Amino acid sequence: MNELYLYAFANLAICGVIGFIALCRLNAMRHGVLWRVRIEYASYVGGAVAAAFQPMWGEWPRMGSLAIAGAMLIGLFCSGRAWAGDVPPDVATGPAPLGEQ
Amino acid sequence: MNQQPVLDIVGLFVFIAALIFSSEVASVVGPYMVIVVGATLGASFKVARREKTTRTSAVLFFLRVVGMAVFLTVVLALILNSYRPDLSPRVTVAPIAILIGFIDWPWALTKIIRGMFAALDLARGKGGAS
Repeated sequence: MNELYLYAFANLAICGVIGFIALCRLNAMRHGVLWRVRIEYASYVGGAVAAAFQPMWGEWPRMGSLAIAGAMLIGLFCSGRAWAGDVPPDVATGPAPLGEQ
Repeated sequence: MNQQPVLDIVGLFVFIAALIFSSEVASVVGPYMVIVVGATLGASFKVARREKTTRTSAVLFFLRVVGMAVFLTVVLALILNSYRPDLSPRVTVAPIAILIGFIDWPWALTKIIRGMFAALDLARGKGGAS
C-alpha cells in the first residue's frame, strides 16, 4: 500500500505542475487565440485534475500513468520557449482582421 | 502512540498521500469528482476568455469558479430532477458543472435582465415617456 501511496503522491505532484502550466497559458491567452489551442489547454487542465485525484474513485496510478504524465510535462516544458513571457505564439492565434493590419 | 516516527522524505510523502487519499476522504470527496472535473473544463475556457492577469489571481479565479460549481451543481441538478423526474441527478451533474464553469455569469445575467426589460417595453407599447 505504501508503494501505491508513493505513486499517487508523485502523480499528484506531476499533474499539479501540468495543471498550473496549462492554467498559466490559458491566462495568457488574449482575444483571437484559436479555439483548438484553447481546447488543448482546457483538456490538459481537466485531464490533470482527473488524473491527480483518481485514487478518490479507487483507481491507483502506476508506472504507466506516471510515464504519460511525465511525458506531457516534458512536452509542456519543451514548448515553454514559445510561450515565453506569457505571450501566445503566432501559431496559436488566427490572422488579424484586415482593418488592424 | 504506537505509530512509527516518520524519518525519511519518502515516508513523509507516503504519509501525506495517505492523508489525502485515505478511504474516509475518498468516500466523501469521490462523488464530487465528476463535478470538479467538469467545472475545471468549463472554468478553463472562462480563464482563457478573461483578460490577462497575474498568475496568482488567475489561479484564485479558477478556484473560485470551481468552488462555486461544487456548491451550486448538486442543488441545480436536484431542482431539475424535481421538474423532470426522468433526468436523474447522476446524469445531469456533469453538464451542469461544465455550464456553470463555462458561462460568464455577470454577462449572461445582464443579457437576461436586458431581455426582460425589452419584453416589458414591448408589452407596454411604444415610447419611453408615459
